[in-house]
Amino acid sequence: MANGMTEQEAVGWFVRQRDPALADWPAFTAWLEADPAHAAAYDRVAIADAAMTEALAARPLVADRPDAAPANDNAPGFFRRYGAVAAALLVAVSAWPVYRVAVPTYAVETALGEQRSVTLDDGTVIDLNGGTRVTLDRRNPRIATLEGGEAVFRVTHDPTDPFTVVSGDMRLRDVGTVFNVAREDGRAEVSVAEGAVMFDPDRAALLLRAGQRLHIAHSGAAPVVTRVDPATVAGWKTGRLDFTAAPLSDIAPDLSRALGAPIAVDPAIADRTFTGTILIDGKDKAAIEKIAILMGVSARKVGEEWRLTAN
Amino acid sequence: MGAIRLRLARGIGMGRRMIADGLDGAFLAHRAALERFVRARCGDASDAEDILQDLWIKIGGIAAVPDDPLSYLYRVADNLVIDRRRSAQRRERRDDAWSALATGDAGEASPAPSAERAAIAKSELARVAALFDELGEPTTGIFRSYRIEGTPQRDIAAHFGLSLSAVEKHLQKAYKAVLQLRDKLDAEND
Repeated sequence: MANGMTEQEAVGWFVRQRDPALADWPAFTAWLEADPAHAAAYDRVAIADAAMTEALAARPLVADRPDAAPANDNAPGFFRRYGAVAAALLVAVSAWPVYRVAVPTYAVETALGEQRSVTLDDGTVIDLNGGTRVTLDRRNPRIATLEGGEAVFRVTHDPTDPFTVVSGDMRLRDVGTVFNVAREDGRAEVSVAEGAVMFDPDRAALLLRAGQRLHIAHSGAAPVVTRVDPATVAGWKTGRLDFTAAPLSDIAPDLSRALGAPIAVDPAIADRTFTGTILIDGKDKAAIEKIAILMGVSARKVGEEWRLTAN
Repeated sequence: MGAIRLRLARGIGMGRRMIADGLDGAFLAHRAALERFVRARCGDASDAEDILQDLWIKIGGIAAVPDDPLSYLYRVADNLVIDRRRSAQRRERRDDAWSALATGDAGEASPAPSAERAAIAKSELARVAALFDELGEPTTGIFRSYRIEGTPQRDIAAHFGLSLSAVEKHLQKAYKAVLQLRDKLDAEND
């Protein structure tokens, strides 16, 4: 553990460097160079900060009761006074600067293997794949937060009031659209079936057109744009999963959602890739065994969970 | 949905890249200073090269130019180092969990990693909330404005009628308490 003086300095630097108006990077560099323990102390502060915001972001929201008091609360005054805190942090887990967003007031959720469709007041339809959670705001029907999982957004376009999808630190703005968004931990993927979507409208302003797919491999990774057959976007709705050189770590959550059972991958084979189409008919959980053979691996059942391992 | 692992990021923002201004220009003009910073920040020359490469790729996808491009680059580089530290930490924990499974240390029960994580996060959340209740005002309000709403410290100072250094002291107090809590939680989780 860092000594008291170093810790105090590290906290001071962290507080200043995060404010663009106060940051002094050359001076900070000199401080880091003065002693290797300085960087370690600074890391501790940064990691504590990120872990704390993650805990706040994981706070469960109350489903379907817009103005209900938080249900579980041993979380006391801090949240009664600052109800928006956890919500705002959903978009800001470790991303600085922090964005301001509208306060979400209810969540729609599906279990693994379940699918559900929600129609908003403006006519926008959101189809949720299994194991998905979307937060919506009754006061502002033009924003949706995908907290995890996968959903297709069929947006009623209004040029004067664009529809925004928030997921992690990713923001998407519709330009008249049908698009699919998937998110698992830090990985995110956006595929456009019709129209166009603006990725990160405030900064990158990257326009994705029909037939394009944007992939972010992990939080903080550069977005990569590739092509996708628009007809296969959201194939999950008809039990069709297309993969092109996809790592097993990306495939497992898709299979979990479709089959309704948690599926984990042995880290030893997580990077192995698979190319092909898997058709899923019904909810036969044991289908995973056949699918595993197709992918050249083995599936074992451990408790309620399936695990993919090397043969 | 399949993930395609082609890196086409170089193609993004090509038009802007032809003239080296904005973020690219700042990067190229200040590469040595950025490298020095990143090296001091991660203490490892090859990690530093990776971070700079990531930074260059990342800014390739950003069309808008921030007010102070250089400061922005430093901040993004700093975030990249933090992300890397965190995922290394996570990987270690995951490896621990897997090796515990392999050796049977985890017992009979089927582990539900995400559910368990959520439960831990929930109890941590209550502790964080209690911590801020304990800190009280104006520290909690200042921290919230700064960390959660992203308000610049100067604006917070004006709003609370405090000096800039007083605002900084409140933030430091909040972060020290957060650090202490973190140490406690880490000790409990291990």
